[in-house]
Amino acid sequence: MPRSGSVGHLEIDSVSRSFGSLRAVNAVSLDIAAGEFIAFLGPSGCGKTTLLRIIAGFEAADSGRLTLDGRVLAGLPPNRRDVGMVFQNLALFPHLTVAENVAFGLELRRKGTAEIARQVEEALALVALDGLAGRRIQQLSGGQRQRVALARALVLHPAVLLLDEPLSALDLKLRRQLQGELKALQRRTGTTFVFVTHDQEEALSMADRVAVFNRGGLEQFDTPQALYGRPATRFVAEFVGDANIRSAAQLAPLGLSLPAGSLLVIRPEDCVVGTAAAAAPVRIDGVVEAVDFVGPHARLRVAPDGMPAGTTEPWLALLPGAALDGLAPGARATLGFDPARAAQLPASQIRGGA
Amino acid sequence: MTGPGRRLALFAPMGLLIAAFVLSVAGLLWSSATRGGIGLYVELLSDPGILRVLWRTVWIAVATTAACALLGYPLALFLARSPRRNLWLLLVISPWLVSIVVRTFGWVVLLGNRGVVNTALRDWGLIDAPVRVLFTPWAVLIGLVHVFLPFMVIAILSSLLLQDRRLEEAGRILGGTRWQTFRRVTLPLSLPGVVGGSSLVLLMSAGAIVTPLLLGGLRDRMLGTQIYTEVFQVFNFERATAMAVILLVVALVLVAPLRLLEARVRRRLEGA
Repeated sequence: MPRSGSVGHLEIDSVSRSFGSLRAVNAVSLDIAAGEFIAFLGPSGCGKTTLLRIIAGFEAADSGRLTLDGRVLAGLPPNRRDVGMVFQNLALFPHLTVAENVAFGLELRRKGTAEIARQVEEALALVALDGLAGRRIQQLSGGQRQRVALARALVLHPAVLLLDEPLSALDLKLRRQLQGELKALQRRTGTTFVFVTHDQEEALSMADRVAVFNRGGLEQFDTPQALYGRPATRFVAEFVGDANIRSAAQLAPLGLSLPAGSLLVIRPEDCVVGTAAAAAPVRIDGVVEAVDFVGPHARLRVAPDGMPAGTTEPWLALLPGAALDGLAPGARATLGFDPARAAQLPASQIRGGA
Repeated sequence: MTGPGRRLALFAPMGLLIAAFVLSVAGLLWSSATRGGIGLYVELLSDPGILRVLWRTVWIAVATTAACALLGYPLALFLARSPRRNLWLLLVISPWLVSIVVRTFGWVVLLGNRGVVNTALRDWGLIDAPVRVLFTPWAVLIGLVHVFLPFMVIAILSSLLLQDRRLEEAGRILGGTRWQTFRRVTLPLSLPGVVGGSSLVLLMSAGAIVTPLLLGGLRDRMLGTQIYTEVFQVFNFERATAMAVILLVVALVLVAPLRLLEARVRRRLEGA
């Protein structure tokens, strides 16, 4: 049930919100295109949920501007924003059946009985829940409840659907399955999705673009590839995936010169260990500290040999499982990498930190 | 102590209470059956005076319950939403710090022909002759609502506080105004509290003695006061016993539909 035309263009213009002395959301600006799947990513307390609640109308912004398809949202109550929401705990109505939950919003819009029945059926089919219309919420599994919450929101064709960590309560396997379904559903309906999560893998795998938050501020808003490959800040580099982050001073003994104060971000999978390291442009000799073998790949921690103080931070490397080749804790090994594949953080953009 | 011994120890005080309750009711039924017999009931239930008392008891109890629910719900809702809930709650239950006799006597002072209310109304020229409220069923109703309102408020408050606030937010974002969300989400989910509080108030007001005695006078009696009179003034224990049995039956009949309703509401909410 795609909406005609392009609706769901959400503009967030330097929105701020404080609770007492805490700056929960600090001058955040985001331009979200119609039909985009956006993830808000950050640790708990970073302001992502507060921003979501401001968009929904449950919190008011202290300053800044929110527009949806050109309409200013400030002052509009939640029921008049054309915004849908899936809550973290789903907030399904326990006194209503599945069908009654989905029909809730339609009834408030005073649609005819036949029309409501048709749309409820359509929405339940969309989330593959046909046949469960008469069930009570308490009789459903976690995954089924998830789908009822989605159907209840999507049946109203909102311009934007907000999702507040809706998968966080599910076990990993179900979570992966629903992530895929959610993404497919978003493609099919063409609705703008804003998905809040603290799980970076979830954010990267699902979203068209990811907004990374830290301490109320927006760190970076970019595609998953750009976020991972070219992190804008040290916080993003550390929060999104693993990284070896080294300063100019730490790299100087290796023969690498960086502008003073800047950092180099070397992803573990760009490191090689053992015989393969012989050909790498930069090489570090050391001792293998730890090996985590997880099947397709293995994570290694290599402690470099005594070098000038402050440079002996262990290095992380991610190798194909088959390349482990006898590397065990305590073994001597050489780790190498190609600085051309590493991202550089200029001094001016180094802020935050985990 | 472990196992059955510990459980027994925990159960003992409760067991004593239950035993006392069962024995007293059994004793009541037994003495009623042996001393008065069925003839006494026929006599009582064909006495127009007693029937009036019976009817008065029923309507005052029902009206008290309805008034407590209507007044108590908004109050409970306010408490549930207030950031200073505990302070307000203290005010709501503060009447319990004062003896029921003192509290009820306060109403005598307020409602009498020369009481505060009538004097004020006369001074403002709103009435010429005092409005007779004291020693009418209306005074009893006012007094009972005053005494039992806190029970209703606490019963409703507890069910409101159990409710997830996200449900109201869900109602709002699905298009509901505040009122629509209240009517379709908050109210139905708090019905167990209303029904529970109503059962409590209904039972207590049907058996009330002190309030109807002080505010209703000796003419407009309720069953409780009638029994009190039979015991302490007429010393007719047979009649008192039979009336106590009638009161028991009336209370059960009044509360039964509420318990059924409560069971239904709970089943619906918990999806058993």
